[in-house]
Order: sequence, then structure tokens, then C-alpha cells
Amino acid sequence: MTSALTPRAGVRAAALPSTSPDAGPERGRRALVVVLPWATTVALLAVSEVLSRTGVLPEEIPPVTDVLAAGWQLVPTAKFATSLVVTLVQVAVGLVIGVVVGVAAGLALGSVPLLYRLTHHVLDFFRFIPAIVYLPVVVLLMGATPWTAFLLAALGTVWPMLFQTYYGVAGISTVLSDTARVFGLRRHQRLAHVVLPAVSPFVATGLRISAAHALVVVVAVQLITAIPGLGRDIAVYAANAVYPRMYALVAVVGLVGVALNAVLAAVERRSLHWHSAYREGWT
Amino acid sequence: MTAAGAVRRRGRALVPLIVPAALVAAWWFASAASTSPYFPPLSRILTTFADNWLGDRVVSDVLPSLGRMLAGFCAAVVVGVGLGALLGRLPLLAHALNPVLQFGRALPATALVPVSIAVLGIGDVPKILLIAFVTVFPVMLNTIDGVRNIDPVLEDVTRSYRLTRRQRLWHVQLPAAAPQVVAGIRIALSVAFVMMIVSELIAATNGIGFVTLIAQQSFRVPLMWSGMILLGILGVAVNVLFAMVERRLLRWYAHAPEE
Repeated sequence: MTSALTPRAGVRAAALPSTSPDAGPERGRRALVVVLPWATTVALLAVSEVLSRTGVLPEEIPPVTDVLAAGWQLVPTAKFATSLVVTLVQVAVGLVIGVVVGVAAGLALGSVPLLYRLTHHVLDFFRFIPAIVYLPVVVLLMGATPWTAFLLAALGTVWPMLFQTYYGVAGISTVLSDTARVFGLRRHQRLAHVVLPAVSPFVATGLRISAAHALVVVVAVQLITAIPGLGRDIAVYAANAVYPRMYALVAVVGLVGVALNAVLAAVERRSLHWHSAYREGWT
Repeated sequence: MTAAGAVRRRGRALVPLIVPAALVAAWWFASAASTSPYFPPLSRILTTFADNWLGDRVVSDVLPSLGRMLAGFCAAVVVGVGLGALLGRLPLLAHALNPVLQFGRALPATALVPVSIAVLGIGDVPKILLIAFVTVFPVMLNTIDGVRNIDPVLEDVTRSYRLTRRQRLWHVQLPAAAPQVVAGIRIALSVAFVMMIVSELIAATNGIGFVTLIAQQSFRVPLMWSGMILLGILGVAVNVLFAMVERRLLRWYAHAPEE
């Protein structure tokens, strides 16, 4: 019985390494739990280094140290800074457009049932069309300008935002909204004190999903249409067989993804900690 | 149950169809006399659609696209559920690999298209491997979570009843993890669909995405629109089919998503 449950205790400690208050012999174990993932990661990178150096891996997969060196050279350059900023701006602008439109539409759909009944077939149709499908026509109309990236990133973010907001509004209990009405709260007061608090955890989840979509779309747009940014730089280095730099930039894009996710997951946790009706997003 | 009531009920059921019908009609009539090179008449787009996507291109482009997506997706489901079930049972190993797995999930999949071309080249197999590689992460990570979050009491009961390892896996652990596994597979499916298109937009020789992008670049606008319509319909069809499979698989599960 005890032996069967020990691994579970290990998992809990693994999930919350810094918060378990047990003292004494548990401390060494907790240190191991903290160090283990990073030690493993370094070990895996070391193995791939050896495999590349000994020629087991093809030359298209350069040693990790070469990639790190390329990154070390690349990161301080103005060209890299420009590409990184341009990419982040494209993600941010697309995200802002998508969030504003999605939240506004979600609030409207949630508050006016007839509107939802009229449009839900159309919405259910378009939500499943990935933003990248619109790429040809947007490029045709906008050309290889940042607006292509803005619009497509917005298209990638608007659907999760719209549906998350709608689920949030639709999930408000009738008791709560009736109570607010009985107490004579005005429309804008109900919005501020009932609707927005109920919706915010859903919006936070939608934001995390949307940001990931926006980054995927922006990188794809840069790869395909040669709009400046990290995606285009990756494509250029790949085409010229400058593989260490290509991998360095892929790692940077990955770290951007990790950072976006970490920041928005923290926002999500904050908006969740008081909200009991929190539930997983639909995607 | 009067006749008038039945008519009214039927009339009410038609309400959700008003807007879709109005949108298609609006597109049809607004574009009917269009001379804009960007917005050809819908009738011309549909003729192009029938000539291309219901003709030779089914074999030369549609089936290769869908085949690559399905091959990569199925491989990812098998590998992802397998590795996920294994790592779910080996918490220490899962914990050790956590940074690698989280990085793999957060890395925007589209950034790997040039990498796959550099390492694996062009053609069907590299595209399938790329789709499989990027879709394996959501499946695997959700399976790990699903297997790990199984009620410990359930585990103890199956142990008390002396179920074998294999029986526990097939009859208890995988079904208990199924809702989360299926959620991961659904994410994987939409990622696979996006990657099917994007992998055809760079260094490809056939496929729906390839034809659509080349149509845009060579200014064959009706073909471009028809390709986009096909991709849109396929995107919806894939998700609707999956929702049906999901409902069957999770029929027993009380919290199944209400679609």
C-alpha cells in the first residue's frame, strides 16, 4: 500500500517543488527533484553534441556548441534585435485586434441569445478554418506588408477569444444576473461587477491559447511571404545552409513561445485563484 | 400538437439557417457582376472548383494532402499515447524530461518547416515526419497528465483485485485517461491540418495548399478562391468527423464536451 503510493507523493513534490513544507530528510529529495530536469536536459544536449561531433548525426544537425556560438554572435546584432522586435510587434498587434474583436463579439453573443441563435452555424463553421487558409487572399490584397501578418494573426486569435468569452457569459448563473437586476444595478454596473469578473478567467485561458496561435501564424507568414521577422531569417539561413544560425533562431522562437506561455499561464492562474467556476478551455 | 404548432416549430428550427443562407446569397449577388480581379463572381469560383477539385486534382493534390496529414497524425497518436502512457507510469522520468517536452510543445510548429526541409529534404516522407513530430507533443503531454491524474483509490482497487499490469492499462488506466487523451488528440488534429497546409506552401510540388498558393502567385484568382473554399470545408469536415468519433468514444463520460 505505502509502496504503491510513494511514487505519487514524488509526483506531487515534483509538481510543487518549492511549496511543500516538509523539513529534514525530504530536503535532499527536493533538491534532486529541482535539479533533475535541468541535469537531464543538459545531458541530452551533451549526447547530441557527441553524436554530431562523431559524425553519427548528419551535418544538417550541427553540434549544440556550434548553435550556441552562433546564437552568441547573432543575439547582440541590430539585425537580430530588429527581427525579434518586428516579430513580437506582429504577434502583439494581431493579438490586440483579435482580443478586442473576439471579446466584444463574445459579450454581444452571450448577452443577446437571438444573435447567437442566428449566427452560431456560421461561427461554428469559421472557427474550424485555420487562419493560414486565408493567407493567399490576404497576401493578394495586402502584399508582403506587416498588415498581412497583423490580419492573419488576428484571424488566428479571434475565434478562441470569441468562444471563450461567450462560454464565460453564457455560464453566468441566472440567479447571479437576476440578483444584480433586482438590486437595481445599471447595465454598465452589471457589466463591470457581474459579467467581466465572470468572464475574465475564460478570457485569460483564451488569451493563452490565442497567443500561441498568433505566434504560429506570424512565423508561418514570415516564412512564406518574406515579410521581415525571425521566421524569414530562419528561412534565409536554411536556404543558405547556415544551419547553426538557423537552429539558434529556432531556439529563440521556441523560447519566445515558452515565455509567452509562462507569462499568460501566470495571468491565468491569478485570475483563477478566486474563481471557483474555472474550467478548461475548449481547445 | 396542431399543424400550426408543427409549422411554427419547423420555422423556428430554420432560424439558425437564415444567416448562413443570407451570407452565401450576398456573396453570390454582390459578386455576380464583379469585374474586380480580386473578387471574381462566385459562380466562376464554383465552376473552377468543380473543374479542379472534383476532377483530376482529387488524385494529384487532394488525396496526397489528406494522406500526408492522416499518416503523420495517426503516427503521432500511436507514439504519443504510447510514450505518454509510459511516462505517466514513470513520474520521475516524465519529470526529468519535462523541460524538453514543454519546449517541444511551446515551440511554434511552423518554425520547424525549414528545419525539416534542411534535414529531411522535400517530398512526402519529410512532410509526414514533420506533421508527426509536431503533433506528438499535445497527445503525449495530455496522455501523461491523464494517466497521472487517475484516482488513487481506483488504482488501489484494481491492485486489490489483482488485475494484471496489462489489464490495468487497457481496462482502467487508458479509459480513465481517455477524456484528456482525446482532448490532446483534438489539438493534434488541428495542428496537423495547419501543418499540412504550411508544409505545402514551402518547397512543395503538389497538394491543396501548394495549388492555392501558386494560383495566388500566378494570379489565377478563381482557382485561389476555390482552393481556399476547399481548405475551409475540409477544416470543418475534419473537426466535425472528430467530434462524432469523440462523442462515441466518450459516451460513458459524464463531462463529455457539449457540442
